[in-house]
Amino acid sequence: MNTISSRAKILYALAALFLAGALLVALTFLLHGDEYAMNTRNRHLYRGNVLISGGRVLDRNDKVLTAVEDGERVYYGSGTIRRATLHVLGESGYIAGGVLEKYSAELVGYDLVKGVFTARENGGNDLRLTLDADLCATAYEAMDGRKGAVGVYNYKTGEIVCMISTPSYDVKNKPSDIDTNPKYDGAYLNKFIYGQYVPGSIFKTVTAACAVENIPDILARRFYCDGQYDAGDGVVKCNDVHGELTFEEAFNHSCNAVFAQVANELGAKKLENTANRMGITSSFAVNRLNTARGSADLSKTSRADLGWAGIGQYTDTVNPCNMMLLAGAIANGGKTPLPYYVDGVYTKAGTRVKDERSDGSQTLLNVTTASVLKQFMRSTVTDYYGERYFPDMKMAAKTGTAEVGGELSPHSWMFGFSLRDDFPYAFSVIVENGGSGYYGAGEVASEVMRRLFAGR
Amino acid sequence: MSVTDTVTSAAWAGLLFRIGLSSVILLFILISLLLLFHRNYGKNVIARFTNNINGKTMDISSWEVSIGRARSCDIVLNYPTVSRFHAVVARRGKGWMIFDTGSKSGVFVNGEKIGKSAYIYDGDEIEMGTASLSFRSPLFRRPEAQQSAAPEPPQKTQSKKPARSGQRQRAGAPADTPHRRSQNDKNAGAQQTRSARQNPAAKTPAQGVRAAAGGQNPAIRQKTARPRRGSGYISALRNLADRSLVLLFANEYVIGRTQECGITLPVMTVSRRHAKLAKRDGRWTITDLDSKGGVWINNAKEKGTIVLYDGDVIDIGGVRFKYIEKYMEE
Amino acid sequence: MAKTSAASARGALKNHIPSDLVVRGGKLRERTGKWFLLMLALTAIETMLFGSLIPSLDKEHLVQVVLMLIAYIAAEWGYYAVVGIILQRRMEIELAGFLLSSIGIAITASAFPDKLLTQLAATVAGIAAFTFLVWFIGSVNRVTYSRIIAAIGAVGLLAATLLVARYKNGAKNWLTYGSVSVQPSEFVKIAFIFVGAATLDRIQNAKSIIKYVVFSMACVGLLFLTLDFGTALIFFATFLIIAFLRSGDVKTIALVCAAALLGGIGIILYKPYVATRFANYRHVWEYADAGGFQQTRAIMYALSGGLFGVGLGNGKLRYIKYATEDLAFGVVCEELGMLTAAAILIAYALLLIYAIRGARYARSSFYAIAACSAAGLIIVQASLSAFGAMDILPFTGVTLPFISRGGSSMISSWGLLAFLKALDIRTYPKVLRELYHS
Repeated sequence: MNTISSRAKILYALAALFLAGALLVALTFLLHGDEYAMNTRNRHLYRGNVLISGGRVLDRNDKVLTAVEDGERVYYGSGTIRRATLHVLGESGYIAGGVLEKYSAELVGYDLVKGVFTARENGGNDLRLTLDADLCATAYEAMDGRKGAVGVYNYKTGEIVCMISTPSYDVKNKPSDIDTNPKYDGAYLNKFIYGQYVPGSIFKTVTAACAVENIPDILARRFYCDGQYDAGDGVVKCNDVHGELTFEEAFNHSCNAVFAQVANELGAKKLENTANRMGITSSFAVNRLNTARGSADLSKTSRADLGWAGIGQYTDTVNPCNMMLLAGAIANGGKTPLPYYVDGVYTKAGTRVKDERSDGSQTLLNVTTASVLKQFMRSTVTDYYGERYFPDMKMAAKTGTAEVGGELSPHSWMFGFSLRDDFPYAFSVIVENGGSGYYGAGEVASEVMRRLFAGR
Repeated sequence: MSVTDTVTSAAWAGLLFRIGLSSVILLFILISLLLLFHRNYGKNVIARFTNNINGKTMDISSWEVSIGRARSCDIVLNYPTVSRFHAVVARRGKGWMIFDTGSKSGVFVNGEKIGKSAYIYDGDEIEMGTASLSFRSPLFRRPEAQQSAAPEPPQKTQSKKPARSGQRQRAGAPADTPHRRSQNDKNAGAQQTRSARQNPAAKTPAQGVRAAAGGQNPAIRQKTARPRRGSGYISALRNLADRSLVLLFANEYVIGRTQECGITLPVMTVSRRHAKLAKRDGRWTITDLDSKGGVWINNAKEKGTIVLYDGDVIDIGGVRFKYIEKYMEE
Repeated sequence: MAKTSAASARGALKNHIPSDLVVRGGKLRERTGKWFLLMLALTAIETMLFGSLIPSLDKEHLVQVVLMLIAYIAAEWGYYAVVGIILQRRMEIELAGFLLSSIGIAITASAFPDKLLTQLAATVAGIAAFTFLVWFIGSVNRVTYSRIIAAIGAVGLLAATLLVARYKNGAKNWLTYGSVSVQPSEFVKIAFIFVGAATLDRIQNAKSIIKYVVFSMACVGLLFLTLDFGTALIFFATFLIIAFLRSGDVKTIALVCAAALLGGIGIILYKPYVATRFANYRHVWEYADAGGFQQTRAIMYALSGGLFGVGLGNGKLRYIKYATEDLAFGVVCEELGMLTAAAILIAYALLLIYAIRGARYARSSFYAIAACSAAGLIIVQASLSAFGAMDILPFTGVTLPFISRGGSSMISSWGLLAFLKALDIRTYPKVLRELYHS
């Protein structure tokens, strides 16, 4: 019958819906295939929460940090290296963002076409990191049980050679009191990537940059420090009575009074803008991780507040990775390459199948500002700290002692870079409650950089 | 070199096997179901309505036909006296029935108004409002009707083999006696008529063509008298290209390229009026109407009027038909 | 054109024969060689399929599986001998059914070798039911007379299930006697389509649609009460299709839909736990170990299979409860690959398209409506099953036709196939068949 057959045509709509559904399934598979298939509940790949299939994770010197043998996950022999690389590797269910999680699909060799074939058949790929496990171990030991983070990278290439976070633990001998003992507070967090700390004096770099760009004669001006800065609605105390100073000298001596004054001269808005431009409030992509954002909200500051903000003691926070990149940018004419710690995915035989090195760069400062800051930070070492910590390295650096209030020791910061063409490295170190910036973070930085320098 | 050194060759063999298996399953599904679409949907005409007002004929090939003024009906009668959904003609039980599907003016069969439904037969006149339709369906004749014009049993004088081009029945040519029936000899009636045919008193087909019903052997007529409802001879043409079937209802068909022809073949090799199918003395014949390509029967070109027998393959301008004549019992 | 000599004349005749026919014994016949080749291919595929299973079986089950395989192949060839060779009928639909069923049997063999005999027996029973049904609905008269019985049977069976059945996995849709459990709603599907398509005497009659609406809502309502929402939804969708095809009466249908929607909302408000069944929809990963358990595992393992699968017997999804019934799509993706799963979905789609196109040439509206609604039912069910497992639609725990483990499901799938087969002209009564054969 005609009528029936013309009515039947509406069923083409049903067929179309069916096709649409199938396409949605296909789309879900394409978009989320890796993520869903690599779920820790997948018994083809995991047991308990542990990934028991896939290739090895290697450091830049071919040390096998972790691998799968006979259906079990094994780690590098040295406990120190295990602790030093814990946050990089991650622990399923506890430490998020490790490469075992983020690169599980590549390690296992999963793709939509072959499924878990390579994993099941003892295949899989190796992941090569740019980190130096021994250097990380050195950094870990230098922290000496204190909490914090260390990061070192090559500011010409973007390669991160050292990245650690403490406290850490041995994944093979997990302490039983890890959840109760305050010693292990924050052990599950990668502080280098996700930390947000009061900056203290290292924020003066931001204030200095802002001043250089906005106050035309800042370099020629002469300031006078009498031990404090009276903002009118509050007083900012200085660490010393410095007397007459140039701006550069104020930077070298980390004079609070001068910087508080300059901060008020600049005003909240300009300072905020500079901070934003320098990445304080930005999140940076580090392979498949994204750094935590710092904060620089100066909208409701009184003059005194602004003064404190200028010396990094207001509500501003910074991220350790950001500081490292800033150091690199200053070294590099204002531009930092985008950082990475994963070199790529390799077959077991050594052919690279996926290049994970980040491309591109980000400009945090303009060239003149960078060169001024470079000079400031170099003169801080030559004229103030001395080369003792970084012999022959032509290091430029700035420390920070960030008061955290109460009876706690201030956080100890240091970030800097080498001016040597053959040693283009920048670093940042934070030691929580480490006391003096110089003696706390500085010593850690010294050990790490000296080791790196010796091995180049 | 890739993952091969750690993945065993047995594993690769397994993967290749699975690739093969999946592909072959997909292929099989596609082939077997796409074959479903490779059907030739020729229309098989089993009944015919003629609109007595404008002479239009409508061929029926399905078992339910809706009739009414609405455009979604199978037969649209655009007259104000016809309801939107006036009636449905459907194959039911032993024949055709007409159902009144809620019409205003009712349905009349041969002048009598029907209730909800009624049987209809070959030759009935159906009135709906001011519309009048004639119904033809050779399979289903009214029980009382005498088969006065029952076709003579076919007298085959040649075998079906295409090679026999020279022995084609032609009006005026002498005939041989052996007869050939079609393969489906299931009909008792056919048996009887065959034995009757052995009777040399049966006229030669030549004369048979001209001789009307009167030329029949009385014995034959008795046996074919009062056939059961639905039985009798039906003739049809099967288009060998698309397997469609055309039951021959009327007494004459012109085959040609134009639309006025009863059987239209819109092919350039067919002349405008190529051939004529006509019923003479109960037998279907075909005549070449001076066409360009000619009329070929069983691979021999024929001129003049030729009697058709069950199984003959007619070629008109490259389009091949098979003439089918069967004795059907319901 | 034809030549005058005898030998070349025969050659000329042959050249003009359409490609799907061949001259045999002086008559034009269907080309049957292709069915033989396809049967061979089918046997080869099934041997490969079951062959890949063998390495993962232990000795005792190995013998069983091989015997079952041989039995199944023998049954297929037996059917082909009767239907394909003797009766000279086309077998596209049966072939597709055979292959799909064999996939289902293979999965049962790999996951539950002990239940293999049941699955195989159900398949053979299904084929028998198919054959019977094709014959039964061949006569439009027979259909007309048995319509009422079918309607009463359908409602009766559903009511009986509601009264007698016990809760099983959250729904009361199973009848158990000893170790045999049956899902009556599967059989009711056949009757439902049967009743719906048999409009016959009452074509285009507005009153008849009301009666049909009442019948359908009774069925849907009873199913809803048994808490088998998936099957209720399937029946409702099929009702929509049949009602529209029968009457084209969009107004009444829209009214019924609105009423159903209101009813559904009312029930959800009154009994909120009904809604919780659907609370996980699109949130399955958040409730991965609770309400989203089945879907997340299905997705995860389906993806693990890749395009070609991990191989029969190597999957992990089948260890999850009811995976072979409700998550069959996932199991196929995992063990046989996404390509095979796509082939299965394509098969369903092609059946629907065939039904839609075939409606034009169906001899009676009964066949057209029955085929379209059977194909529509299969598509709706397959959608709920496959897309529900993948969290594209809410999960409702229905089976995948032919593939899921389950005797009732297999039998009803073959039953639905019968309506599709009946669209084929070869199943029509002798009178006309003779004519078309000549």
